[in-house]
Amino acid sequence: MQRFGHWRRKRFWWETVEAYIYLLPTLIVLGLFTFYPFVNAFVYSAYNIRTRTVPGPVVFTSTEGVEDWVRLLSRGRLPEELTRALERRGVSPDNLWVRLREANRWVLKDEGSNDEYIVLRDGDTLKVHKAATGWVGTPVGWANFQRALQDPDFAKALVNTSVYVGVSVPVTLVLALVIATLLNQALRGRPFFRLATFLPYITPVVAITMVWGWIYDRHVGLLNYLLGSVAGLFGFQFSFLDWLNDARFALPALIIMNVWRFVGYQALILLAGMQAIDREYYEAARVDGGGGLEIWRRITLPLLTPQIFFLLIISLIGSFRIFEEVLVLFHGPGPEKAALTIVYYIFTKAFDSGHYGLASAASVVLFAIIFVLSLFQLTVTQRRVHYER
Amino acid sequence: MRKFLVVLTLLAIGFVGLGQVTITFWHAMSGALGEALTTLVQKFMAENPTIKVDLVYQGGYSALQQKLIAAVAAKEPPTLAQQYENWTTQWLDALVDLDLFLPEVLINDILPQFDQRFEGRLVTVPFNKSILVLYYRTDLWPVPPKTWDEFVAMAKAVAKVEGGQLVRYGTAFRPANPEIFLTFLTQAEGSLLSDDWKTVTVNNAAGMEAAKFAAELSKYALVQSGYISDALAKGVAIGGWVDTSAGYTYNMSAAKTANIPLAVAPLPCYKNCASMIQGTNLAIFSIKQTKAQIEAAAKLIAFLLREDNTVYWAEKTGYLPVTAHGIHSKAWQAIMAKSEIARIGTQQLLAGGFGQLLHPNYMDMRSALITYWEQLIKAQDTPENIMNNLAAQLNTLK
Repeated sequence: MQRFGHWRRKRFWWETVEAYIYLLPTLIVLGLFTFYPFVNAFVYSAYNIRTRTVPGPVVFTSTEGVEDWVRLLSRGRLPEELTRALERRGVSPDNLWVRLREANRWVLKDEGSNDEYIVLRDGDTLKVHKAATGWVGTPVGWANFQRALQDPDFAKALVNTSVYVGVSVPVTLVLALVIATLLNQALRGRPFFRLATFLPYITPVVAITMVWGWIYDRHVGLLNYLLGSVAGLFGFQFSFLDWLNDARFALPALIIMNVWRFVGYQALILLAGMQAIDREYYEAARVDGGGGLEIWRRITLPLLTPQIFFLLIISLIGSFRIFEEVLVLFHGPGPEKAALTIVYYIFTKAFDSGHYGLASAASVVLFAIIFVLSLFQLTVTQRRVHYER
Repeated sequence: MRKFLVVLTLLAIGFVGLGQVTITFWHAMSGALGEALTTLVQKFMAENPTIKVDLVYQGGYSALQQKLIAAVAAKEPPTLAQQYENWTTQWLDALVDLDLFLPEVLINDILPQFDQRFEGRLVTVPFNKSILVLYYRTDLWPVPPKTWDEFVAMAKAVAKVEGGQLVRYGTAFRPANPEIFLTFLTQAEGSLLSDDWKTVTVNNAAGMEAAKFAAELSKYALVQSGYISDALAKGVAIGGWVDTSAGYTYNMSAAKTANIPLAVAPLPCYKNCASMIQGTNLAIFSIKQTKAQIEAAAKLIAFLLREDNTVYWAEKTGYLPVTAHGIHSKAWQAIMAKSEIARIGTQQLLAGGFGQLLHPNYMDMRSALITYWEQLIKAQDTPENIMNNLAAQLNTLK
C-alpha cells in the first residue's frame, strides 16, 4: 500500500503532467523530424513511389461518339455529353477544364471542388473516373531490398563505408588517447593545445572540407608540398599524389580529414575522463613501484573504458553516416566511386533518381548494420568496461 | 471632395486587389542571374497589374530539386518552377500541358533544338540554356581544331611529358561530365538507345567510334573531378577542352588569374557538329492551382519568351535566346557582334544543339554513363569492353 501511495497524491500527478509539458516541444520536434521519417522509411521500403494521376471509381462510361470525344479532348475541349454527365454530379461546366492530354488519357480539373477526373480510352469505350494526383505507392514487397543488394553501386558503398569506419574509428580513438595523455601532462601552453585540437570539431564541416580540398590539391596543395619537402630532406624523388582524382587515395583522403576533425573532440572527452580518475590509484601504484607506461596501461586505460566505450558507439554511428564531406570534397562519389558511401548512395537514389523506395530500403539496411554493431558493442564490449567504485 | 477621392482610391485599390491573381515562381538563379530574372518579373507585373508573381529563390539546383520533390509529395507545389528534364519525368502527371495555354505562334517560335515532348506532351519550355563549346589557349594552339582529327592532333602536340608524367595537357575531362561523351556519340551519329527505347545502341559501330575518339584524346588529358577552370586558375596548362558556354565567365576569370590568353570556338565536328544543350526549363504545376493561376503562369512564360525578353535574359546572363525571333533579332545580332561567347554559342546551337534523353530512368543511365565514361578517360579497359559493359548495364535500365 505504501509503495503506491504517491499515486493518490495530487502533487505527484501535477508534477508528472508538468514534466510532460516541458518535454512536449522536444517530443513534437523529435516525433515530426525523427520518429515519423524513421517509421516511414520502413514503410516506403516496401513500395515503388511515383507521382501519378490515379483513376478512382468510374463515374461515367460512353461507347458512342468515341472518335468525337477523342477529337474534342485532344483539342482541350469538353464533349457536351461529358459535361452534362458531370453536371448531374454537381460539377459546373464553367469550372471544368482539360489540363493533360495524351493519346488515350485525358485529365480534367473541376475548379469548384479541386477534384480531378480522368478519361481513359479502352478500344471503343471511354471511361470517366474520379482521379487524384500525388505520390502513389505500388507495393513491391522485398523488391527494393533485392534491387539494392544486387546493385554494384550499393555493394561498393557498403565496402567503402566499412573500410572508412574500420580505419577511421580505431585510428581516431588511438590518436585521441595519445593526445589526451599528452594534454594531461604538465605541458607549457596546455590550454592552447587543448583549444587547437578541439577547434576542428566546432568549425563548420563544409568550411573545413573546402580548406582540405585545397590542402589535397595535386598541383598547389599543402600536403603534397610537405610530403615533397620531407622526401627531399631524405634525398628521395616524390611525384605529387593526386589525392582527389586517384581512386587509391580518395578514401584515405577522407579518413585523414575526418581523423583530424574528430580527434580533438575525442581527446577532450578522454581528458575529462582521465582527470576524474582518483589520484589515490596512481599514488598507490607508485608506492608499489609502477612505472609511467605501466601505470597508464594498468590504471588509466582500464578506468577510461567507460569514455572509450561511449566514443566507440558515437563515432561508429557517426562514421556510418558520412555524407557532406564526400559531396563537398569530390563534388560526387569520388574517382571511380571510391568515396561512394551508403548515405551518399541513399541521397542520390532518392533525390537524383527519384527512387524513394529503393533509397528507403538502403536506409533500412544501414539502420540494421548500425543496430547490430551497436548491439554487439553493448553486449560484448561492455563486459570489458571498468567503472570506478 | 478630398474625402470622396480618398474613398474612390481605396475602392479602386480594393477592386484591383480582389481581381488579382497570385502565382509563385520557384527558381535557382542567384547573383546577376537572379537580378535579371527579378527585373523581368517586375516588368511583367507592371505590364499585368492583375497578376502578382511571388518570385522565390530556393538555393542552388540541388536545393530547388529537393524542395520541389517535397512540395509535390505534400501536394503544395508552386505554380511555376525551373526544372531539369530528369526532374520533370518524376512528376509528369502533376504538370499542365502547356500547348493548351500558350499561343501556337509562340510554341512554333521555340527553336527546334529545344523542342522536347515528354511522352508526347509539351509540359516544359526552355529557359536558361547553354551549350557545349570548345575553350582553347591561343598561345599554345592559335587556330582551333575543326575536326576530330585536328582535335587529337592539337592535344598530342600541346601535351608535354616529363618524368613519365604529363606536365602540360592537350585537353581535360571531368568524370562527372558524361555529356561530352554523349556529344561525341551524337557527332558519330550514335545514340544510347534506339528511337523506341527498346534496344540499347551505345555499343554499335558509332558508339565504338565515339569511345575510341575519347580514349585517344584521354592519352593527353588532365582528368580531374574539380572544375577545369579551377585547374586553369592554379596555372595548370591545358591546350583546349569542352565546357558549357555558361562556364565562359568562370573560364575567362581563371585565365585572367593565370595570365593566359583563352578563346572560345565551336566544337570540332565529325559526321555532324552536334553539341549537347545544358540548363533548365519552365513548367507549370496543376496541383492546387486554379485555372486563373495557370493562365497567369502561362502569360508569364509567354512574356519571358517574348523576343525582347529572351534577348535581355541572354544578354544579362550568358545563356542563349530560346526562340527563333529572339536569336535572329537585330538586338541579338548586335550582341553577337560584340560578344565572342554569344556568337560561338549561337553558332554551335544552330549547328547541332540536342537535348537530354527524356527517359524516366535517365538519371540511372547517367550514373552508369559516369562510371564507364570515367573508365574510358582513365584508360582502365579497352573502349570495346567499356562500351559493351555500359550497354549491358543500360539494358537493365531501358
